[in-house]
Amino acid sequence: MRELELYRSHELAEKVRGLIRKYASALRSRGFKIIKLMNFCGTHEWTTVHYGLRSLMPREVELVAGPGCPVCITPSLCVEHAIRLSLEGVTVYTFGDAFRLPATREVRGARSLREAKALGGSVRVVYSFMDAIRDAAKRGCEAIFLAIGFETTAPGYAIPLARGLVPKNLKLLSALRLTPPAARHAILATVERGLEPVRGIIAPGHVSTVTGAEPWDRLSRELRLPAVISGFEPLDLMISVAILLRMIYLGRVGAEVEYRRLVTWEGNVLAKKFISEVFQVSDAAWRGLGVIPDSGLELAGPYVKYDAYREYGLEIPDGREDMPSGCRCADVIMGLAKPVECPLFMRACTPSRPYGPCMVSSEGTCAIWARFGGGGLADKVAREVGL
Amino acid sequence: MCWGVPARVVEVKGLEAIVDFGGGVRRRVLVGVSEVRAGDVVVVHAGVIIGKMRTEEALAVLEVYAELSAELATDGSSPEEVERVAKKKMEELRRSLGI
Repeated sequence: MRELELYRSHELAEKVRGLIRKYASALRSRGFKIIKLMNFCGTHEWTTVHYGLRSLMPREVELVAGPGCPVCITPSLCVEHAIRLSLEGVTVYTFGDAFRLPATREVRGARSLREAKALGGSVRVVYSFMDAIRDAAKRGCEAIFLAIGFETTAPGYAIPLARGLVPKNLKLLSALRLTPPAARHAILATVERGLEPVRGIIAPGHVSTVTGAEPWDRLSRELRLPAVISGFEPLDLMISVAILLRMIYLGRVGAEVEYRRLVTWEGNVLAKKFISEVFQVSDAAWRGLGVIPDSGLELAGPYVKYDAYREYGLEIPDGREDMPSGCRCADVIMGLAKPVECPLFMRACTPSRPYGPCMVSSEGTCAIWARFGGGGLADKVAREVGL
Repeated sequence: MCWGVPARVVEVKGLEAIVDFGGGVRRRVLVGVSEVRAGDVVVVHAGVIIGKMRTEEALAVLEVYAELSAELATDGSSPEEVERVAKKKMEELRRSLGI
């Protein structure tokens, strides 16, 4: 994998930075004051903040985090259902990220699955759905899996279901969501609110590994905005920014793939086949954003027998009253506010005691900014040393 | 959440495979792509192989750079000339990294 060393090359990074400046300057002379580029993946935001990429951008280029963290947008009601079931003797399996995710309302004294476990609830954190399958099959207990995730995670549920590997005692509480409809929603929101419009889309590399580039190409053409599917090394993102600026400069729309080592136009055909066999697309609630049309995956056909909503008669989330009071996560998720603009950030809400959903996962914008100082510290230092 | 970690496939066992993440970390993961073989470099997400990595495509970044350079040639040279020079520089960079 020596080829990947290129993406850590200081020399190349310097050259790409020069290109970004050149294009930004050309766009400035055409009257662009701010060029807002939005990402839709928590890992992109992580790379951006961790490596201080904002401090390397010219003044005109603004990198904004949009909805890109599945933990942050999982409806509170899904967490509340899981807490209640865990306290009623049903084993709840989920990923570590969802374990600490706070619900808006307390359920029997617990606001998260972690608290439910402390109160005697049956909650197990697993690395993969397959681990839950093995454990549930061995124990034979009544169990659910709180299935969070975007398109990247969907094959992990769909393949075992389609292959008949899931025992009857394990049901799925699907909080699976699709990224392009939410990206569309967030981009249009900036226009509706009269804010600086988004000029380019930094599309998620691992989501696109599964879906392929095609859905982003469609979105790009509909919104008349260029899209670049980017990898996750700092140089991947810098190159993607340069490609986007060039596309804006040339007035091009459509999707280009920067992450060519993994993303193809058609994506992971096998995974897509299993996903469409097991799930159907539905309107779905996103925490803080409300219901977005055609943005969720629910079990379909013969697989509804694994549906935890049906099994336990659970209410489907409708997106109302989904945020704790005073929390600005809804605006942060939409890219309408920065974490530092929330009055609770690093006061009542910290990585060790998260109050809002964006402070939980390592992919949540608030958690990333809290850990790596995304509040402008890197920019300040960069200015001071004359970068 | 959408972390993807590169790993090398050690052995394929039916629907699952043993992968090596490096540093002595090996795991049993679900195969989520068609035609995976021992030795392939893959990306693993939440215990599933979601994609096969085409490492040779990593070098495409050098061509992209050269192409991007050509657009705004400012020193009077033609875009083709700028691209040619940029390509040469990238080739030197590649060699200096021993790739």
